Amino acid sequence: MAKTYLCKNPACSLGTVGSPGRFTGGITADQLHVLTGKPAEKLKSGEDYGAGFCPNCGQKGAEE
Amino acid sequence: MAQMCPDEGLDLWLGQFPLNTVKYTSPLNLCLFTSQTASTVITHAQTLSAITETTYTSYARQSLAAATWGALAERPTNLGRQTTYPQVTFPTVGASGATINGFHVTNNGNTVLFPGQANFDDVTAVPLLTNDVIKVTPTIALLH
Repeated sequence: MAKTYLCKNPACSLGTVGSPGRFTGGITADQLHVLTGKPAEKLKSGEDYGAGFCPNCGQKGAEE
Repeated sequence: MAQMCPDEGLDLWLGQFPLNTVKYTSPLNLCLFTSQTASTVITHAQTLSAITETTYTSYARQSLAAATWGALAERPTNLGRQTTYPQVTFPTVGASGATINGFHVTNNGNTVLFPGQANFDDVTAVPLLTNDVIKVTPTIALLH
């Protein structure tokens, strides 16, 4: 299985709210745009989105 | 809805009680599968290897921690006892989706199907597309 990350944002719905959920890959620029309203063209890979950024809340996750 | 605690899962149950030769280790793993069908699961003699876990983009199996299971309660009506886990949310689907036929739970090391595999209550497959989110609320019951 691909590298997994933990989302430690307590408000994130991933997994069970309040406990870290797991994900692989990461949120895309388009998904982050939908989630936050930030213009997709101004988002930077590795800083705002990409591998390790939670696909459910957009926050940076921790490597497991 | 079909469900199955296969031979290897029952052996693990009985290994804890009454044999006391196996130690349950938390957390278990909650997984989604694409094999079998929306209304069928593996047969009793099959094992975890007969199940295909989904690989949709961003998917990862989720932990079921012992301390998070709900209080033991009656399985209505007077059928047995049960515990329910809070709703578990899986990662939002990225580029590639999948069709999910149900969920299964594996032991801590993800080596044994324990306690088992089940379809969804409505016996309907869930086609996941980009940006979809699937949530599962697992319940385990032991019947009288």
